[in-house]
Amino acid sequence: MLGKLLKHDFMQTGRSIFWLMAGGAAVGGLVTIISSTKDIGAGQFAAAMLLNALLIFVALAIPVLSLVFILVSTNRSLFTEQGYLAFSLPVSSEKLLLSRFLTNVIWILLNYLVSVGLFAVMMTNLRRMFKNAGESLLASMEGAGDLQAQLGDAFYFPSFSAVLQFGGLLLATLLMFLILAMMTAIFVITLSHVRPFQQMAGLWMIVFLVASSVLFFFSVKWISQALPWPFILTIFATGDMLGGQNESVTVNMTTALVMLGLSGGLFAVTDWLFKRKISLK
Amino acid sequence: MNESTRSAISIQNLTKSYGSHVVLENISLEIPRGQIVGLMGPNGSGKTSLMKILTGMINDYSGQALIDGEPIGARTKAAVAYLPDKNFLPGWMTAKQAINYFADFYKNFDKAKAFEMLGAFWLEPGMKVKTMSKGMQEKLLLLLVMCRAAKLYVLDEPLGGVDPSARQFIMDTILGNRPEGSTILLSTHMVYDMERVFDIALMIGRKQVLVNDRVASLSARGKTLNQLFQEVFPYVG
Repeated sequence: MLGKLLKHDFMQTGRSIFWLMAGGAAVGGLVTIISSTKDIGAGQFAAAMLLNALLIFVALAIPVLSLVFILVSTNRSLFTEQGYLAFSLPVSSEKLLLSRFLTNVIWILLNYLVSVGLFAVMMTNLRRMFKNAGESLLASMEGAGDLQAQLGDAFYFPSFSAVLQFGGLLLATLLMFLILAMMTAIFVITLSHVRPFQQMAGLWMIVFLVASSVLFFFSVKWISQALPWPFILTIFATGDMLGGQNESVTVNMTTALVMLGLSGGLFAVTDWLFKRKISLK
Repeated sequence: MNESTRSAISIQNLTKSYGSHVVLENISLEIPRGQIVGLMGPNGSGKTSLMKILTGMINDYSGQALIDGEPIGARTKAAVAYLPDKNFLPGWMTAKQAINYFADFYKNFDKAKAFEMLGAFWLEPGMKVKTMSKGMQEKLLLLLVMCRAAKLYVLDEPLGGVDPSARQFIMDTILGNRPEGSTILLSTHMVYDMERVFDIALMIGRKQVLVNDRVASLSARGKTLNQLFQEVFPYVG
């Protein structure tokens, strides 16, 4: 039954979120084609630069919009009239919850990957544009040389395997944040539909989301100060992306266990709410 | 209790309140299997709440509710077909997708019969729920519910707001597709004409079960269902 739930939840959520991803990928492809043109003038170069800058906004908008879509979809499928369909299915509350959670995490992760991909596309486009532009064009544009040097620094990687290791660590960190964030979001949505919050569920949802974010921020800050090692994102804290990597992996494993424990706790509480406190309007 | 003597619905000391407003207070009742039960009462009397409790849409209540001897959960949901008083299908779903959805989750769902009924109801398989009229949506929901070979059908106001010919069509669909031995709990305000359909009259109001009696025994006492309803709820209509 979990497989069937996943299939239907994935299809239902994907109806809107897939097009967000596809739209982002299409914009990335279009800008790349435009940026690949050789022998361009100053005006075309500036236009291509602007389009690539717009890619940053698209890349930032995709994770935010996908999160909004996911939250709306979760709320709609469980606690509006469609909740009558979900809660009358002959499945346990754990499976109902797990399916929704996994679906959300997978879709968000896919959208984040598209977003990261768009950043990479933008960097590659800019490097290619500077290469294609030629010395005379760059010399005629104020600040272009400095920008080219900065891009070169930002796009430097020591080796392919190091990049893969860094990428893996980043993905693992992102995933564990995502698991906790998604479980918190589902818990908050469920709690806002439980009495006495049900009458103004939308307002309570926002209040709980803000409260949980603040609580999370201060908890991390407190734990970071209390522990003898940095608690999160040590890969960025080292100053050198790959320096002290072994230590970072160990510390991140500790962080992962704490975060997975918190996520498990939230799952159990949400499941209890599903079993004991549901009152569909 | 053995399988053959178990009640279809068994409720013990059930209380449901919304904040400080108590809707059902310490009610107990037994509904035998294979009966058509008319659930009647004025608006706000707790009919829909009782149905939601039996189908697992509400679980913040006190007391005990059993379906076929089992507490409400995944197993009872497999045996209960529920028609709420609102459209629960997403607007993007087509009639065909809705049928496939039900066929995926309910082992007792007859997919072939559903497609057959779709034609009989003049509904297009590719038509989206959001493009259907209210009447078409109601037909589709009724079809989805009645194509399940359920032990208990919980039907919330299936006759509400429809004209007399549609009412006849709905009742024919319900009675014509109901498996032998199944129980139907049907809430309605249409007390007229239902005497011939109901086996048991269940009237709730003032937080209590006010009547839980066989319609045949009412007739034997020379009373119609409508007369009884007027007696129990003199302030209604």
